[in-house]
Amino acid sequence: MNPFRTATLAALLSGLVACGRAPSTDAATEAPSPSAAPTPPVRPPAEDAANGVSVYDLQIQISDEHGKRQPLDEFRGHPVLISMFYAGCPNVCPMLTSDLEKIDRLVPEPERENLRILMVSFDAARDTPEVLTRLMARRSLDPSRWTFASAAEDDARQLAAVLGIRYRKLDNGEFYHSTAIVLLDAQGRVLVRSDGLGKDPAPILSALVP
Amino acid sequence: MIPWRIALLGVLLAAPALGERAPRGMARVGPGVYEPLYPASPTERTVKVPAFYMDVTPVTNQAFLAFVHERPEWRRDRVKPLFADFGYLAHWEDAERLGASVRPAAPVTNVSWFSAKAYCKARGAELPTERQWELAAAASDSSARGADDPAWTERVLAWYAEPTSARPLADVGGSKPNFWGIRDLHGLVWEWVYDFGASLVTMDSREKGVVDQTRFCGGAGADAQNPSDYAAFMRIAFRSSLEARYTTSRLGFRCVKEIERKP
Repeated sequence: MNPFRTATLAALLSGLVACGRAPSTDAATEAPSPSAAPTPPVRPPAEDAANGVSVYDLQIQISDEHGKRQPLDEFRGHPVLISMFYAGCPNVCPMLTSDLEKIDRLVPEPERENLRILMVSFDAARDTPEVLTRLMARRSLDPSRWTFASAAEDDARQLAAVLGIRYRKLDNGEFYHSTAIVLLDAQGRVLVRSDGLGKDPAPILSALVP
Repeated sequence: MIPWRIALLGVLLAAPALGERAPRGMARVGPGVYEPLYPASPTERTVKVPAFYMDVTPVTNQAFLAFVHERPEWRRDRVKPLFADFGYLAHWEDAERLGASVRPAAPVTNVSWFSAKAYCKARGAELPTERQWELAAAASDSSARGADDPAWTERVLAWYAEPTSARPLADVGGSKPNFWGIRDLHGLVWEWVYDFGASLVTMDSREKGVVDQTRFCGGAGADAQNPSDYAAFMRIAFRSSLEARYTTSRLGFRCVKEIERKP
């Protein structure tokens, strides 16, 4: 096993792939030299919602599993579980899909019918509509509520930035990325973010079901 | 003899640019090889970076003000909170004036990643990638590989060690041009890069709210190719702590342009 894989695996097992939004003390304590590194201000997601910060302010497009291009804000009006991935990912992404399926099964009707689940790939070159359709079919995911999509590089970079998902494209075509599931309300405001895999779905469920 | 020498010098200077002139205010950087502090994979211990044009100096308050006039959606009183936090352009007197206490030729700071990106895009340019920025910043004034010169490394480190408050921001262009003709990469402000969130340190250091400094340095530092490159380590740590809407009083940016390849 090469060292990089080992490191990735170790990070996975210890849950360290979850690295999106830092708790408010994090940035300040992390910089090696607090004097030279200014401390970025931090707003928790709850405050964002109160301030009307909507992910749909992004002017970006996604391309779904049918190859249909649409603005992200087509999802406005529904609560959305959103995450980012790439189909070539051997370990994390199947687990991520399983996590989303698990949450979806736990949501009662009528909330479940209104819920949308969106997986956006940052690997637009390889994650063609065929690849995405095949992925969905393998899991028998309901296409009326689930969407697998890809986004062009700059759009993916912007979406990842607002969701707090970090990724790096490697020279071999793989991606090294953090994993997060984000729950958006009907206006596109971040209600809950869950970093990493196999996390307790309770916070998402309690935000979804009044 | 002298005219001949000057002619030869001219040829030598022009040769790397293949007869092209850099856009105004920019200089050609690269092609070059960049050694990332944390290789993303075993095959990426050295990374080839194609040549690009880069702003010689960071974007100034004056230039950013002109942009804000042109694109009022980036005024601090109109910007969407998704794109910039409450500190955005907070040092200016108001939404459309710098005010007497802000030096027009000082680098603009208190700008978010989104606003910096929009500025570059409006100029037909973009933010440098981390690789581009690091390639440019690895050069001393006499060599593309400044790391080979201990005196240069020491000067760079001295800035990183200096307390922020001790030093009001100077105007851009104060430093000597480096090997590529680029100024102020060290010693003035931190700078946004396009892929600021991609550094691997995050993966190792973010599990808990309170960071274990020992594990941070011991764990992450152990994998570094050149652990003595403390300045690069600090840049990565700083970038990892950022989010796209953050603004700080010491964080600015500059733009790059791709070099058009004629068929």
